[in-house]
Amino acid sequence: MSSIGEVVARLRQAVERIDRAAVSTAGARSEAELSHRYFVEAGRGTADPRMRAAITESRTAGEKAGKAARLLSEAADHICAYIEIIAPGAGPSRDSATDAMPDGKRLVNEAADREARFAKFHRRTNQFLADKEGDLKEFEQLSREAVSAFRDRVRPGDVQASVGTPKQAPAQPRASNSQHPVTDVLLAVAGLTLVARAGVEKIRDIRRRRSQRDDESKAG
Amino acid sequence: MSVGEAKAVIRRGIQSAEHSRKAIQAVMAEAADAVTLAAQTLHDSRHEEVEKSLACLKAAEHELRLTERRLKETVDSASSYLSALG
Repeated sequence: MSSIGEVVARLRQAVERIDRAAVSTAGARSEAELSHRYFVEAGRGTADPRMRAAITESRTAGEKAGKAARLLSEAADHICAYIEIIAPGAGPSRDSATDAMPDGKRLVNEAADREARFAKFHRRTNQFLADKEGDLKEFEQLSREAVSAFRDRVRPGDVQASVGTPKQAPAQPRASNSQHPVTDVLLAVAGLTLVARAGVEKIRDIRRRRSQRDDESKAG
Repeated sequence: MSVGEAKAVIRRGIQSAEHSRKAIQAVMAEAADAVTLAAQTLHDSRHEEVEKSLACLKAAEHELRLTERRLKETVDSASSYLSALG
């Protein structure tokens, strides 16, 4: 490796990929949880081992996907911290001001940061999609596959009609309250999967801002 | 719930589990790329943050493999039950 700049560029590229993987994994976790709810609903009153297995396995899959997403996010955080150490100010780091804190407090802060990051990401993704409203063609192109995949799930009343218990029907309340059910569900699904790249950009923005804030608080 | 209704709900469950599995498989490829990139770049570093990052990535890869396996079990079990319902 010839220069620090080159190392930093490659590491930032790795962070971007890992962040993207974390976001996709969180989306996969939601899907696994959704499948679990369907199996719980369909499995009421049956002791068939295959149905019980589907219920248990889908729940475990959701839990493991959640763990994988957290680990990926942590991996990206550590690389960011390392970038900040080898090239202060060059990386999207956020830990520089917290090194002296007690471990427990730091862990809590990191967890809160991660939560905030995902919450902001969701808000910004929704904003991104809202901004695109005038240019839905582009977005539809991007999401055509997802639309067909989810179309049968978002027909208002569909799940309720077949299941008979709207409380257990994950997409139903959303769909029935929306003028554009497909778009509505896409906001949720696309938020995690389709616009991951935009999300990664936003995460980097947030990290940059946080880094600046840390520097300011260090200076003060 | 009638048998027909139960089958419809199970089909949705299978569809979701399959979507999830495809997404996890894509992530596994992406994570493997990221691990290679990070490991190549950081091969001569023993810094604590580097060690932690690589350890997290390895653990994440392991969890992803387990997730994929569980989702396969989910789909297989539910599909088998669905066939048994006729």
